[in-house]
Amino acid sequence: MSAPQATHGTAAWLVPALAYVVTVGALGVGTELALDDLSWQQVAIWTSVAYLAATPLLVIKAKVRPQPGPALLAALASGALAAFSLVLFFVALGSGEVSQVVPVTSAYPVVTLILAATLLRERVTTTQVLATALIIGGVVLLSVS
Amino acid sequence: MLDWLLPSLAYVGAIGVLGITSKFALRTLPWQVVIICAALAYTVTALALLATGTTLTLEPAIGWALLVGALAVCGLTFFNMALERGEASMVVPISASYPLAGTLLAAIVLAERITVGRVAGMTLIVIGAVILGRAGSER
Repeated sequence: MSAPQATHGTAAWLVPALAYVVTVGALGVGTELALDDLSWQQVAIWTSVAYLAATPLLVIKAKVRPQPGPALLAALASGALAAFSLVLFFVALGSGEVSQVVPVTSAYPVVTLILAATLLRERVTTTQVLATALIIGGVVLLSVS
Repeated sequence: MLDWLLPSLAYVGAIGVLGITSKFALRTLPWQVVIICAALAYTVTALALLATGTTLTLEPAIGWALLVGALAVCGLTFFNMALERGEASMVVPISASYPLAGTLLAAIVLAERITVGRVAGMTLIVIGAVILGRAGSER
């Protein structure tokens, strides 16, 4: 099993991060259109179909046989959290208004910042905290306006 | 109020931890493995939903649902590619600015109105993202 190549420079992570922003933004619009005629459970099932369709390509591209260990456990936890969070989001939206749910759920980077500093030993600066607060504040404004 | 607040807070915890577990996994595994694990988890979720009575009907809206699925796969792929190369404390806050793209696309595709409050929100997000990008380049 080979470790992934570490790529340095802001663009190396910023470009895929911004691609994520656009993709998930489009995902929100697509979800809104899908939920006009389908239940969230049906959308979740079709989402899993898309994941399954992508899996053979990913298995070929990965070129690794992950051994049981902490890294694989973490990967499995990430997968479970991704699927679980989608269900939680839909359950929350089922009972609350978008203008209530989105401001609360947008606070998740705070959890990441705390855990990145404590568990991953990443250096978290005041600038990062302030910038994160601006982004969360902006998301809150977007959802309540 | 607890009906929506509890799952919302659980979501905050789940997505907040997701960035950390993914970053930990990506120290030794390629991002494809994380996506395959997500596919596994989504399959279990789908089977659970089917087992508890959700039925699938063939209708035109399936096209939107499949597009949502494809975008979800692409989104998680980009997220993990970013995490593989950058720190979780930089990537996750930037990735949280996706409602900006959602608002702009909703205005274009769904003709939703962009109010003054939304412009203010988008401005805050852009400022925050630019600051984070600059902070990253100074490291």
